[in-house]
Amino acid sequence: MKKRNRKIASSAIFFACALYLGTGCYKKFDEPPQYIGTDIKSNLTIRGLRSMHFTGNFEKVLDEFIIEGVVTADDSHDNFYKSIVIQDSTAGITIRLDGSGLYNIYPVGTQVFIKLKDLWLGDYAKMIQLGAGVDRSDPTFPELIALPQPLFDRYIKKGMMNNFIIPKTVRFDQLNDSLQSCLVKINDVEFAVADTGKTYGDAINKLSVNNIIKSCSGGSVYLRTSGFAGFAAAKTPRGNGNITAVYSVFRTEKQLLIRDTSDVQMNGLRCTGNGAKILFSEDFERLTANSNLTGNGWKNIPETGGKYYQVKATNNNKYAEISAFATGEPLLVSWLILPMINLASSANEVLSFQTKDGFDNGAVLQVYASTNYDGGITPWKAKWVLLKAIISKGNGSGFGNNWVPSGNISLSSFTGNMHIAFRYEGADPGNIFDKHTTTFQLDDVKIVGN
Amino acid sequence: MLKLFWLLASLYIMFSVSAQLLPPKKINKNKFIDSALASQMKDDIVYDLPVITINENERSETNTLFLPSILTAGRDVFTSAASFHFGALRFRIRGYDGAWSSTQINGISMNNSDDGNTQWGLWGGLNDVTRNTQLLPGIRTNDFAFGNISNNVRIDMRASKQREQKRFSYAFSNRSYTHRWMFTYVKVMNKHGWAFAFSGSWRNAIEGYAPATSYRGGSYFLAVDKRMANNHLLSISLFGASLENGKQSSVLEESAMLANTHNYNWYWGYQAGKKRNANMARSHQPVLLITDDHRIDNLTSLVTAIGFTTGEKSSTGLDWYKAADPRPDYYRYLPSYQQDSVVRTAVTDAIRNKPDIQQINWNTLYDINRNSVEKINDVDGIPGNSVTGLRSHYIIEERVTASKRINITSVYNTMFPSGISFTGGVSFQLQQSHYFKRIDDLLGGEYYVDWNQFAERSFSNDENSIQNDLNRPNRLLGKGDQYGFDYFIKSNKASGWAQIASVKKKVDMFAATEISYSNYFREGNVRNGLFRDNSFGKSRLNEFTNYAGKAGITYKINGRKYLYLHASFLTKAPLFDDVFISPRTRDTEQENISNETVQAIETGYVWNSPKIKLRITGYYTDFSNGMNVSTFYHDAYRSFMNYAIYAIDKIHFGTEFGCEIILSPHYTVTSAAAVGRYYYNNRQQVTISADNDAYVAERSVIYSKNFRVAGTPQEAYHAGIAYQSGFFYLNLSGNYFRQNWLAFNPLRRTYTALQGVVPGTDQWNQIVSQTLLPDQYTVDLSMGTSVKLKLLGSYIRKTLSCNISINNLLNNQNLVAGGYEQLRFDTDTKNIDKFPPKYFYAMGLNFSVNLSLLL
Repeated sequence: MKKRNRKIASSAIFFACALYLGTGCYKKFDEPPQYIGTDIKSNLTIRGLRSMHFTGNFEKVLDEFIIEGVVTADDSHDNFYKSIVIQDSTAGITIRLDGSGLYNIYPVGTQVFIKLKDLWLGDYAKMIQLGAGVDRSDPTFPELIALPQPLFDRYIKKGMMNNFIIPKTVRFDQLNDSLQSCLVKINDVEFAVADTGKTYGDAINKLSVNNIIKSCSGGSVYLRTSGFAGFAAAKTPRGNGNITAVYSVFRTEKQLLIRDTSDVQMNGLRCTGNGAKILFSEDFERLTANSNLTGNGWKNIPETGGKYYQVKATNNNKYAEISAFATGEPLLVSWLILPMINLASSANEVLSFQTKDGFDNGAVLQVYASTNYDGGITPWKAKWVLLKAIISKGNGSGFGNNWVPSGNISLSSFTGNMHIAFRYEGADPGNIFDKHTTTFQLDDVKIVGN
Repeated sequence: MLKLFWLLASLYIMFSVSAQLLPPKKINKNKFIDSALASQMKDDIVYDLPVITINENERSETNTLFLPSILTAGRDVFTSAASFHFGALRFRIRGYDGAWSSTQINGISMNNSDDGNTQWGLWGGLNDVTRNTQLLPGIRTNDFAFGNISNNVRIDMRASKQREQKRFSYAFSNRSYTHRWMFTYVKVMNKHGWAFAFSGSWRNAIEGYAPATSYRGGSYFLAVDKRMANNHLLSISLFGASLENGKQSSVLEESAMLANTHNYNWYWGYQAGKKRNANMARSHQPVLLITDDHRIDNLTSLVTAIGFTTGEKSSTGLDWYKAADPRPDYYRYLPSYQQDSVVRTAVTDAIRNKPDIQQINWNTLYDINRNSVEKINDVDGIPGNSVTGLRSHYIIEERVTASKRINITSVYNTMFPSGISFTGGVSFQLQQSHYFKRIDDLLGGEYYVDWNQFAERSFSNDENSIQNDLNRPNRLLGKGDQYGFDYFIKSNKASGWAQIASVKKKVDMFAATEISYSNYFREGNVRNGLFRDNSFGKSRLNEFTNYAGKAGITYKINGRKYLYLHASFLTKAPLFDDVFISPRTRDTEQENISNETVQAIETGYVWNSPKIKLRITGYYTDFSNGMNVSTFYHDAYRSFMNYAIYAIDKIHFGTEFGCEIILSPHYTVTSAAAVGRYYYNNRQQVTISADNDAYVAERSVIYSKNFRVAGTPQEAYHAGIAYQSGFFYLNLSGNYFRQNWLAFNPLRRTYTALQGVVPGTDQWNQIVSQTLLPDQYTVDLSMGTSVKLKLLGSYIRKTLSCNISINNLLNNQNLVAGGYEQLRFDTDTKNIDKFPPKYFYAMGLNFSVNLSLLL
C-alpha cells in the first residue's frame, strides 16, 4: 500500500513537471520571407497615360494597362499628404492614396507597378492625378477619390526598393506641364527677399504657405508647403543655390513641392534684388594718409613693441600697412580690429580683403574672429579663432605687383555680435637671422551677407 | 472532421458500454453530477456559481424542534439557472458589477484591490479541488467575512476537506479549449494526522470557438494538512494556473457582414501559413495559502490565514509608430467610409474576394520593418551617440501587470448556549501592482524607440515631449525591454468586522458591522516628457475610511415556509483607476473624490416542500457617488481625452424567482426569472481633459438620467425539464432574454455634442437615445450517466461517468452577448454611423463532453 502511494506521489510529481515544461515552452512564430518583388511588366509609359487625359475631364481606364515608375515623393514629412508621386523616364504622375504612413509601404525609391484598369485619371486645377473614382457630391467641383487602403494591393504591386531618380536639371523658363509630378532641380535660385527667414508652412494654423523663389536669370515660381509638413516651422534660407522639388501646378500657377528641407541647398551669396547686404566695408580712402590708422571704428592696438598700423597711399590708393622694420623690438605684436559686427539679421556672411607683402622675411599677418572680445584695449585677453585666409607672402625683395585676394571666408558659423582682428607678429632684434620684419599692406576689407 | 470524430466517439462510449448502473450515489441534483459543465462555463467569462453546500457548522439544539435556516438549505434554482443558462448572454445577478461580489479561498480574499474583481483565472482548471464551495448570496449572515452585497463565495481547498479520490478525467469541447486532461489524487487524513491532495490539468486548443483563439493552460495544486495538538489544523495549499490564450475582438456589424459570420475576429492574420493572433492573454499568478484552524472548543473556533500571491498577467497587442493603423476594422478601411457608391462596391468586392484584407497582414508589417533603415540621434541621451538600423514601425507590445499581494486574516466564531452566535474578524491586505509595457516582438525590425507618437504630433517643437522617459531619453528597445508607461500602485487595507446572529424557534435575526481603512498611491518609474513634474515618483496618498452595516430578520412560518427581510448600508472607497485620470502618464486625480454609498434592501419568501421548492425575492439597491474614468479619441479636440466622470448614481431593483416542481421520480420541471430595472438616476458630472497636456477642456454634465445600465440582460427567463432514471439524466431548457442595452458613449449625451442639432428631430433622437438589443433565446441540453466498468474479468472495477452539455442547441449564430457604442463621435457631421457600435456575439452551438474515470 505504501509503495503504491509512493508511486502515485512520484507520478504526480512527474505530472507536475511535465505541466511546467509544457507551459514554459512557447514556440516562436515562423517569420515570413523577405519580399522579393513582382514579375509584372508595364505596357504603358506615364507620358502615354497622361496623354489620355483632357483637362477638366475624368477618364476611366478601361484597358489592362500597367505603368511602372519609381516613387519620388512620399508622405514621410507630411508635405505630400495621402499621395505618392511616381516617375518613369518619360514623365511623372501623382497617385492619390487614402492612407497615412504611406512611406512605410512606398518609400522614395520604391519601384511600383500600377494596374490601371478601373482607375480614374483626373486633374486638380490642371494637376493630373490618378485615383479610384470621381466624387461628384459637389457637382460644381467634382474631384478624384483617393484609392482606399483595402484596394492598394489590388492595383499597386511593389518592385525593388532603393532606386533613385536623378532630378532633371531645368531652368525656370523650361517648367511646363510635361514636367508635372517630375522631380526637377533648378540651379542659381534664391527666395525672394520678403520670403527669406520665413517659415516654410504655417505650422500653427496648419495652413499651406507659398514662398516665392527667384532665379538669378529672372523669373519666379512658388514653393508651396503644407502646414502639416514636419518642417513647416523651419525657416527659409537667405542664400542662393539650388532646389530639388516636385513640379506642380495650380491652374496656371507654377509650384514646387519639396520632400524635405534637404531639397533646398542655398548657402551662397544672393544675386537678385539688392544682392548681398554689406555689413562692413573699408577701403581706407577717407582716412588720413601717412599717420597712425584711426577712425571709422577701427581699433589700432599695439600689444608688444608699440608699433601702430599706418595709413599709406600709393597711386591714389590708400591702404593700411604695418612692419617691424627698423623698430629694434625683439618681439612686435600689433592688432588692427574692425568695429563690432552684428550677424543677427543676416545669413551666409563672408569676409574678404586683400593683402600685399614686401621684403618678406617671416613675419606673420593673421586674421582672427572673436565673439567674446569686449572692445577694450586688451584684445589678447579674449578668445580668438584663427580664420583661414590667403595672405600675400614670399616677396623677399620689394613688393608684389598685385594685391592678393583673401578668398571668401565664411562667417556663418558665428552668430550675434563678433569682432574681426588682424594680428601682426614680427621681430627686429640685433641678430639678422632672427629678424622678421615683413611689411604687410591691407586693403578692401569687406563683410557681406544675405 | 477531427472534432466530429471525438464527438461520435464520446457518444459511442456513453451509449454502447453495456454495464450495470450503479446504485444511486449521494447526489441530489443530477445536473451537477460532474462539475465539468460548470468548468466550461467559467472559461466563457461567467463563473459557474458552484454547488451550495449545507453549512457544516450547523449545530442543532437538542431540546427544541429546530428549523434549518433557509440560507443554507441547499441549492437554489434561481442561482443554478443564472449560472448555467444565463451566462451565454453575460447575465449578471441583479446587474451588479463583479467588484460587488467577493471570493475567499481558505479564508483569504481573492479579490484584487486594483479593480475589486475576483481573479477566477488564478485557479482555472482545478475543478476537482474547488468543489468544496459555499455560496452566500447578498446580504446574509456570513461566518467567514463581512461579505459583499452580491454573491459571497467561499472555497475550501484544504487537503483534509477534499473527498478521497484518484480521478482521471478528459473533456472535449468546442469552446475556449478543445481538450482538457485532469488528474487528481487526494489522500484523506491518516492516523498520523496528515492529509495530502494533488491536482493537475492541461487544457489546450489550436483554435477555440472563435478563429485563431488558441489555448494553452497548465494548472497545478498541492496541499498538505497536518492535525496538530490542541485542536489545531494547519493547512498549506499551493496552486497556480499558467495560461496563454488568443483573444477575440469585438465586432462591427459591417465587418461581420463582409466576413459572412458573426464569428469574426480581426486579431489574427496568416503568418507563414499559420494563423497568428496579435492579442494574446497570458497569466500565471501562483498562490500560497497557510491556514490555521483552531477549534478552541465545540462551539468556538479561530481561523487564521496568511496568503501570498505573486505573478504576472498580461495581454499583447499591436503598437505602431508613424505608420498606418494596422487594425483591419479601422473605419477608413471599411466600405462604409467610401462616399462614392462605385468605390464602395469596389472595396466591398475586394474584401469579399480576398477575406485576408479583413485580417492582420503580417507580411506587410514585416516588410515595412525590414525596410525602414533609420538613424536615431543622441541614443540614451548621449550627445553624438547615433545608431542606424532597422527601426520597427509595428511591434507587438505586451501590457503587463505584475502584482504581489499579502493577506492576513483572522476570524473568530463562537456560539452561546442561548442560540446567539458571535463572529468577528480582522484582515489586512497589502498589494503592489506594477503596470508596464514590454516589447513582445519587433516583427522583423531591429529596434523600437521609447517615444510617444501622439506627443510628437501635438508638440512637434519640443523634442523632449516625445520622450516616454526623460530619465533615459531616446532609448532603443529590443525584445523583452520595458517601455512606455511604468508605474506602481501600492495599496493597503485593514478592516475589522463583527456579527451577531440569533437563531430562535420562529425567528432568525442578525446584525453586522464593518469598519475599514484603505489607502493607495501611485509611484511612477519613468519621467514622461509631457508631464515632467508629476509622472515620476510618488503621488499623494489617498486615504479612505469606510463603514458598513447590515441586518436581517427571517420569520419561519413553518419548517418549509420562510419570510425574510434584509437591509444593508455601506460606503466603498473608489478604485484607483477611477481616481487617477491617466495613471499611465501622470498622477493627476479626479477633482472630486468621494466614497460610493450603497443602500440595499431585499425581501423574500421561500417554500421548500418535498415536491416544490420556490423562492421569490424582491430587491432595491441604490448606488450613489460612483466614479469612472475613460479615455478616448475626441474628434473635435483631435486628441485623446480623459473623461473623468463622478457623481454616478444608479438604482437596481427587481424580482428574482426560482421554482422547482418534482412531477414524478423521473421528471422535474424548473423555472426561474430575473426581472430587473437597472438605470442611472441622475445626470453625471464630467471633467474632460486632454490626455497629452492635462488641459481641462470642459466641465460639463452628461445627460444620463434614466439611461440603462448595460452589460447584462435586465430580464432573463428560464424553463426546464429534467429526466432522471437511475444514473442517466437529461436536462432540456429554454431561456429567454430581454432588456439588454448597449453601453452608451457619454460624449453623445453632452451639450457640446448636440450643438446645432434641433431637439426632437430624428437626428437628435439617434444621437441621444440608447440602443436596446433585440430579445433573444437559447435552448440548452445536458445529459450524462455513470457506469461501472469491469476490466480483466471483473477483477478491476472502475467507475466511468460521462456528461455532455450542449448550449445554444439551435445554433443561433446571431446571439448578441453585449456591446458598446464606440467611444468616438464625429462632432462635425454628427453621423453616428461613422463609428458604429461594436458587439460581442455569443457562441453558436457549443458543447462539452466530459469523461471521468475514478481509479
